[in-house]
Amino acid sequence: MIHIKDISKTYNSGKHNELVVIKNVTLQIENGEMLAIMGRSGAGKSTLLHILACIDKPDRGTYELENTDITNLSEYKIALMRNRNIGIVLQNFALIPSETALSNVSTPLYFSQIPFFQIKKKALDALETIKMSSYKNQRVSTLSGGEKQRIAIARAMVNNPKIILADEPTGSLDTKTSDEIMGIFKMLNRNGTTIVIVTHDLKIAESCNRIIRIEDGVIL
Amino acid sequence: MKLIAIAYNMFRQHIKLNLMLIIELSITLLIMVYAINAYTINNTKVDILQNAKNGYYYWSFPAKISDIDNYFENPDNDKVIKLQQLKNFTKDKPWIIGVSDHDDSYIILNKEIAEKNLAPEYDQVGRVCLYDEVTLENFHYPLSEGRWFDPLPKLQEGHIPCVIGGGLAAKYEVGDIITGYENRIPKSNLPLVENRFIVIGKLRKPEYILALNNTVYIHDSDKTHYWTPVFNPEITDSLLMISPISMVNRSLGKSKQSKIDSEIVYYDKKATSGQVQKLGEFLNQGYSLDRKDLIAITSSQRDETIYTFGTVFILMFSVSFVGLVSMCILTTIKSIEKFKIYYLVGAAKIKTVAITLVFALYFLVSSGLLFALLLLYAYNADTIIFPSYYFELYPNTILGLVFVMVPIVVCSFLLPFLEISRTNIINLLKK
Repeated sequence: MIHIKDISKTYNSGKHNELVVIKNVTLQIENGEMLAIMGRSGAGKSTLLHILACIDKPDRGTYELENTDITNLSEYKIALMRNRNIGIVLQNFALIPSETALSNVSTPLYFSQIPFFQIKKKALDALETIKMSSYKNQRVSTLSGGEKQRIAIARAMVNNPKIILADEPTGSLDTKTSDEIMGIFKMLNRNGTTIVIVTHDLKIAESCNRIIRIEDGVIL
Repeated sequence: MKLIAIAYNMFRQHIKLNLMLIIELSITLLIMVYAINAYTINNTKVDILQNAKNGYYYWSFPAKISDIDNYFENPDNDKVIKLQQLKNFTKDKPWIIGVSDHDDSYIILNKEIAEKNLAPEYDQVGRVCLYDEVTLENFHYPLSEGRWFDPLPKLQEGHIPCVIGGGLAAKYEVGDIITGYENRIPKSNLPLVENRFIVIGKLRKPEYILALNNTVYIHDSDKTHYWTPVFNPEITDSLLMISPISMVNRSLGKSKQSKIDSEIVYYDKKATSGQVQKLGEFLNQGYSLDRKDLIAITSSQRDETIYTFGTVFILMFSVSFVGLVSMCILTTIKSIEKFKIYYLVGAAKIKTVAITLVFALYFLVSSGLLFALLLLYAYNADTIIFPSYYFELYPNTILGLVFVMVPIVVCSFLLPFLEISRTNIINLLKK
């Protein structure tokens, strides 16, 4: 499903503050996997996730997603690939606080091939899946951290992506809520969605099928 | 459809403020239409006066507004006496080219209506403004096509040359023959007189002609408002025709001089200043203005219009421009976090740019629609202060609208676009 080969990423290339964050990383992620990427702060795990999410581009190497080399695709086509294949969950939730839960969950559908009149139904289905449908008309700003993260997961899965990438999804949550969130990820994984979680929490990583460790931009 | 819905969500956030901006922009555009048309009309008057072939004096009687009540009560028409005296005065002066001779009449375009002597509908009647040859040669009105009366064409095969305007002018082409039946008073049993006109030219809109028999006195001063628009609902719906007075056959003959109409006395530009002064002294028995005064008064009317409405327009336009462009750019800046999320969930930057364009279009399209409605309302209201022809879209007006809208459109599209272009999506993830 995902095949990255010899990718490298350097910030401020050629300048005095040049920083190599990813060095010749090769990684293969199969369909249905639940993978944890572990590493200390600054190890390069988030940059790797950004590359996997097609938000950032590697300086070198190739990235194949669903047998398509995306390194040479246009920004427009990459955005389309992201919309169709990838759901993203972030530690800071990345939700629109002034809008309702339903509106936030609907967002990816506005940029998809889904017909306009089906958007609401699909968003409600996603909220129902994570048992958040009763919050549909509530503004996100009024929700707790755990509820926000559930909404973020609902948004990530609403478009039925093949893979969900989560960057420290439980980083700002208490243990009980973290367990609930991980429970949702496991449920999604059981239903066939590939899950990649970036974390520095060993307990979270151990609940995944595979763990890879990254340090100084290199996979150990 | 989806982008329209997202843009509408943005628009809805400050709906009251946005609606105010829309109303303000549409009123600004309406004021601009009025200002441009008023300027064009007044400027055309100045041009006509300035481009006159000969020297001239405008002359009207009585001299003072305070005399007008006595003047009406007096059964003997002093004006006719004065006019005769003027003609006697000019008789043996070769440097005086002539005194204007003018009248107007109506012709009925429908033979059956004319024969039955019925009152015609607006679209069955033509108002004929009749001028003498010197007046026709002296003042040239702007034409959209064809030619003016200088030099005066001869009567050919009984066809009277005419220049047309008004609402029904669009029905005729240059070279067309218009057959009309002159009968000044409906149901009067006067003999029917047939006239066959040939269209030699068409007046350019907005149409304004010198209406010497429609002099209007301004009651708060001694000055005479000598230009009278011939545009009124009647002319808007019917046909305006200008023809030489000597060529048109009329049932009543020449109508009696109106008590308060005006004359123009033409003199050779080569006349000495002494001769012109002498003419001026004679005309001072009534109310007179020389060419220079006429141009000065008309120019000041034009300038007054442009200062008044121009200032209001500039103020309102500035507020609209700053308000609308600020709203577009501020909404974009405020929505940047939202756009980053859109990007995260799979919207290409071009789509977020498209959202801001649709957002700006909400303003522009809504303002445009409201402006069209206001324009239509103002046109149909057709009040004395704001007559309908001030709200018509002439080529100059359309050009002005384009000129004003271009910076608004460009800025409200371009600035949000630039703001989005320099946004770095990765920053959101680094939070």
